[in-house]
Amino acid sequence: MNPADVASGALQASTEVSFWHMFWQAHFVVKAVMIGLLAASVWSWAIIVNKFILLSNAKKSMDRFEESFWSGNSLEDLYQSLSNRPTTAMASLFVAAMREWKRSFTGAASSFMGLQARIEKVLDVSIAREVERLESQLLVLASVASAGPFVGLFGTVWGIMSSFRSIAASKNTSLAVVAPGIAEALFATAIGLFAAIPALIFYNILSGKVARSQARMESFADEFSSILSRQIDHHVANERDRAA
Amino acid sequence: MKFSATEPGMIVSGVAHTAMLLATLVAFSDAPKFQEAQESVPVEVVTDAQFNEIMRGEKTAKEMKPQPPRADKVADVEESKPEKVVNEAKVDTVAPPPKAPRQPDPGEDEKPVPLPPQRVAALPQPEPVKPEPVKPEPPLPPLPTPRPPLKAEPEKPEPPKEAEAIEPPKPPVRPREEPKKVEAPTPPKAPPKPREPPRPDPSQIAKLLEQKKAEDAPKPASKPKSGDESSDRPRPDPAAIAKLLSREASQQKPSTGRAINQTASIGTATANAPKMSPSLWGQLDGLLQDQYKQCWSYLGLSSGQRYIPQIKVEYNRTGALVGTPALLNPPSDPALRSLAESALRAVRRCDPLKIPAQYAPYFEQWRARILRFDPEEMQG
Repeated sequence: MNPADVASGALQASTEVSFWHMFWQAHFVVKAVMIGLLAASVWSWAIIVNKFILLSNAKKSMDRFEESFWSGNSLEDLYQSLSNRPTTAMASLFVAAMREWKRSFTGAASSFMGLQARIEKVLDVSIAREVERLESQLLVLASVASAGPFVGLFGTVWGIMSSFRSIAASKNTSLAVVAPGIAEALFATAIGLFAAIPALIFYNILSGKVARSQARMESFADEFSSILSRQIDHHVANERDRAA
Repeated sequence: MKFSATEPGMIVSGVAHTAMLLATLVAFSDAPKFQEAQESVPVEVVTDAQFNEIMRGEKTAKEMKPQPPRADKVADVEESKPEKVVNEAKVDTVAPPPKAPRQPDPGEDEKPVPLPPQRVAALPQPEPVKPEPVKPEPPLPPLPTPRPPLKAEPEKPEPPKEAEAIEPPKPPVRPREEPKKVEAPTPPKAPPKPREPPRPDPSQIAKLLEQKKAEDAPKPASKPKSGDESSDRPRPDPAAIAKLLSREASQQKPSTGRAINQTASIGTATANAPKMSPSLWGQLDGLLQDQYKQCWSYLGLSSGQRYIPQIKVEYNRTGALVGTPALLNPPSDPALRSLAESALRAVRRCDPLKIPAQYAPYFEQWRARILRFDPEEMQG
């Protein structure tokens, strides 16, 4: 697209100023920026929707699990019911810890030595896995939020640059000639802000939710490990009595 | 990103975006146009007096080319011209009154006045003398003289009937016809020549004569030594006198002409009318007072009350009254009415007031005045 074409296009387009025309008259770099930013906006909104669904599901499942956990039912039964199906969040922590516990007892040489440490490690790993699942793709939102305006600005600068070149080529500085080029250049920044602002807002909201879930899981892990520790000590005392 | 039922984000977001894009395409399909703004025009009210004081002139006026002043005579002493102002002051300076008629100065008058008659007497002389050197030419007309101007010269010699020198103006006209008569008989062989002499039209000849005169003009100074003119005593030179009288060139000299230039002036840079200085006001007041004193005759007894009739008058540019003079403070006491009447009478009697031309530029300022006729002051 040489400047002369841009100039003639701008002259023709001076009457038509719809968004479609603004997009269509733009330089291909500006077009690429606009398309990329629009895609980023679509993607970030998809992430936002998915994360909201995921987090609300996780919260519901955690509520449900805690309810059943503290209901006084046998942990053995709970483990039996949960271990068969894929679990989320707290339930997966419980399943992982119980599995480790079971392995230590069912083995031929049941070893209580270091079981406490092993359970803690398993809980930590499970927490890390769960948190990673919750906050995956939140970094995309952060990137869109921080880079979107810059990318849009780049498109704007490029568009203004090319429109100035077309001004120089057409040797006409009337506002009607200058305006369309600048409007389409500013359109790029508008799209960048359009993508970045929701991404920034929802990144903050979602990362807050993830942090709260993580804290809740960690507190559960601490409680559960203390329960298991008590059980371990109990067993150790029984063993000693039996031995003695 | 996978499109699954558990993660419907991509679909939801894609649909939402397309819907929004369509909505914007519909909503922003046409940009709203700005309303045409009506420009307001500032209006300025100019009073009558302000309008009369405007001196800016016409912008489209033809620019007058400065042409050298017409000179009929080469000056003996070069007159010192007013120096051109290089950097004109941008400040409001009072413009010198234009075309002020020269005030008769008793001291200066005596010398220049006698001059004119002398000059008239002196002028004719060059002609009688000139002929002598030129005379040889008439016999040789055919030889050189390719240019007609010279031909005019030979004509002059003939008129010099020395006796006729008394009549200075005539010679230029008469000689023209005579040369033909003289020439025709003497050189008959030259028929083409008679034709040529008639050709120079009277105006051309007159011009030539004038030129000649101008050339000769310096000579009068040397003439006296020839001794034939007893009346010629050393002529006092007006230019020299003027030079002596005013050592430094005046700022601007009023230019007088036969006709006033009618072309519109382009105006002054500051475009403000000159304002009268306090001293000018004082002079004008004195002038008016003198004139009215002569017109006012009041023989009344000064009563106990002090009454000064105030009369509002309006003049035009020549100093004549415009409208009727109005008494501003009619006296309550009938005894004083005669005083007021006399004042009004004085104003009417002095009607064409003599106002010197130097006040012409300030007309706007003295146009309307309130005259106070103080009987005590008049008597004193």
